[in-house]
Amino acid sequence: MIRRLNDIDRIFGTMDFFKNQMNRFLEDFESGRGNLSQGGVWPPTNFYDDGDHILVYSELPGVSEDEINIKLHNNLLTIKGERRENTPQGYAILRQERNVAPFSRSFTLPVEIDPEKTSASLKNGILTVKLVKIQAAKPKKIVVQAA
Amino acid sequence: MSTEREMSKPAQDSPEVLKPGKTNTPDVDIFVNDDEILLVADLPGVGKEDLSINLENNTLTIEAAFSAGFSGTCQRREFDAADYRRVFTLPKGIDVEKTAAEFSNGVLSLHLPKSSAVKPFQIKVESN
Repeated sequence: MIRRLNDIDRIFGTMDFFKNQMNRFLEDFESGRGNLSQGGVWPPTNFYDDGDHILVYSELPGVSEDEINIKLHNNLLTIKGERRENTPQGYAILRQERNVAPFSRSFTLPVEIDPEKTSASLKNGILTVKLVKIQAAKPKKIVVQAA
Repeated sequence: MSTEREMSKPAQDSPEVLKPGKTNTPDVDIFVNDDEILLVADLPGVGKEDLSINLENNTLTIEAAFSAGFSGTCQRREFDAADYRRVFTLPKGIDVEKTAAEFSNGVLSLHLPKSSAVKPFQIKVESN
């Protein structure tokens, strides 16, 4: 009888072990380790919508205005470029984590954009592309009338 | 089974932080030559005034507040507006007084000059 209880205990012990492993795996997953920016997709880009515009934010530290090429063709937005400042002369590399490769990303936009009104700015290493929606794509307010 | 116990227990084993929230680890390059160590860090979305570099007992701490703002509702997110923090242990022989930093376009360049005692010294062989 005692032996059997020990067996049951051992089975529960094993189950606990697997559950802890699983929890640890899920915690890693939820805490965002291995997020997109580390997966080789560069630059990381956020999309925001404020009703009349679509705002695109890209992290481009150390990239100057003339090194960025933004193209809008139909509904395809392409952000392309290259960070030219690389290894400084006369130095040996101890560690290199910053992206050095030329980059290019394309996005299909969900609504139609007025290409004439598009503008872009670069501040503190963040590129902001402001895309103006065409009139038909802007949200409309519907007024409820009393009958 | 231990789930209930763990869930009711406050997270005591993690160290206390003064400011809650997630911090990002900036990507860095580290270069070295005979005269100095050059540390280059990507800190996009940070203004010059939001940057703090602290050197204490061979520990270098870089902290920066993310100050760029987003407007509207988020449709797709690949980076967070989180503050940056990274800590380095420096080798001995850094001339702390002469440390210099530059910051432009979201990139920090930190020059850490070696003190003369650890600089390589060439010995000339003289022929008789």
